[in-house]
Amino acid sequence: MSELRWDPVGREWVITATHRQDRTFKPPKDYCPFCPPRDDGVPTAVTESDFDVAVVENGFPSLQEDPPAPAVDGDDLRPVEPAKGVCEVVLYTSDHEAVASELPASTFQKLVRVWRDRYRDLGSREEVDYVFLFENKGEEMGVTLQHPHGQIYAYPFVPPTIERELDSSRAYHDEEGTCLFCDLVASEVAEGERVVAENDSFAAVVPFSARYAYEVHVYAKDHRPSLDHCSVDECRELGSLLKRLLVAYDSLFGFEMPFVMATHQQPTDGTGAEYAHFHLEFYPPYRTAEKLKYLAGSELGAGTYINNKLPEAAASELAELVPERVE
Amino acid sequence: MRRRDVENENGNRLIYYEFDDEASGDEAEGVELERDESEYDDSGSDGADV
Repeated sequence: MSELRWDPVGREWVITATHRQDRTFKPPKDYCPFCPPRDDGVPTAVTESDFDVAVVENGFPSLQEDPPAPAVDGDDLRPVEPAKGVCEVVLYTSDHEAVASELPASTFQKLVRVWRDRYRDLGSREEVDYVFLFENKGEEMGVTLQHPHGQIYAYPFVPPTIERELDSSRAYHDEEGTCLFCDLVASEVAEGERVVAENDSFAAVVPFSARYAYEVHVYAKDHRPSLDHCSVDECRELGSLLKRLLVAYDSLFGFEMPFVMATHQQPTDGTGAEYAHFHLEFYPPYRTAEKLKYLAGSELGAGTYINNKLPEAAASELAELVPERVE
Repeated sequence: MRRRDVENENGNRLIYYEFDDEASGDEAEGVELERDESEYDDSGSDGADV
């Protein structure tokens, strides 16, 4: 069963997807569904022994191209809709054991170009309003399959976090006549205090009001509403910067840093070209090598984050660990 | 970049992206589609389950 249930208080859709209770949970390597076909003849999601980057439909999708009828009837107060959309998995490599920060920079560059193609492809569908590219990394973030991968959700609506962000940037654009993110990234680069790494096209910064100790946002320096507006060279620059950032993250505490990575960009419903601005956000849960940041009462119950780290100090620590060049 | 659309053993859409040694620059990206329309059994594992 899956459906969209409208929360009239929070003014947001909630997806129920009961079939996901039965999805594969932390299988041993020999049963990884993302690895190339094995000698035992049990099929996996892929068909070839080696590949650069592959994309496959999620076997337990929260959103479906042909969704089932909702389990309950909605009404005017609490509408219910079929959970229409697309969920895909992006396999970064055929190597189950690969450590992302040790993959060549070229893999990251390829990945960004694949993201761009998926944004274009899925965003061209009439029923899709927002293409969300993301990664949950590490068991701390709830990862159930270890093979290096990310995900794509193509939603039939603009999700609430994105909508709130766009409301802010639209209001700023109406008032100032400029893009909020363009002004923010220009200011951060000029000040430099919270810059972790940069190149000609992108800057990685710990945001002024970071919610997590080592939160990093990666912004296009020029106005790029979406990946679709980025050139091939800019995709390559982004890939290289992502590799440098991941090296720093993994060097910080001496282990692979778990995180949630989210991409924010222009909805594919045609709105927001002037004020949407492509960027990535990384939320690592560790605030020290041994201590995790939990979302608790103030964060979950009231929506106000408490960060135990000065963003300027976090940026300085990470910047020290970013390699100048990566291969 | 070249894109090849197939179906996996479970009948799910599977796309391979292939990259040759390309010159840099903002070249137009021709997407080559090689769709395999053959039928597959819907048996076996559930595929990509995340």
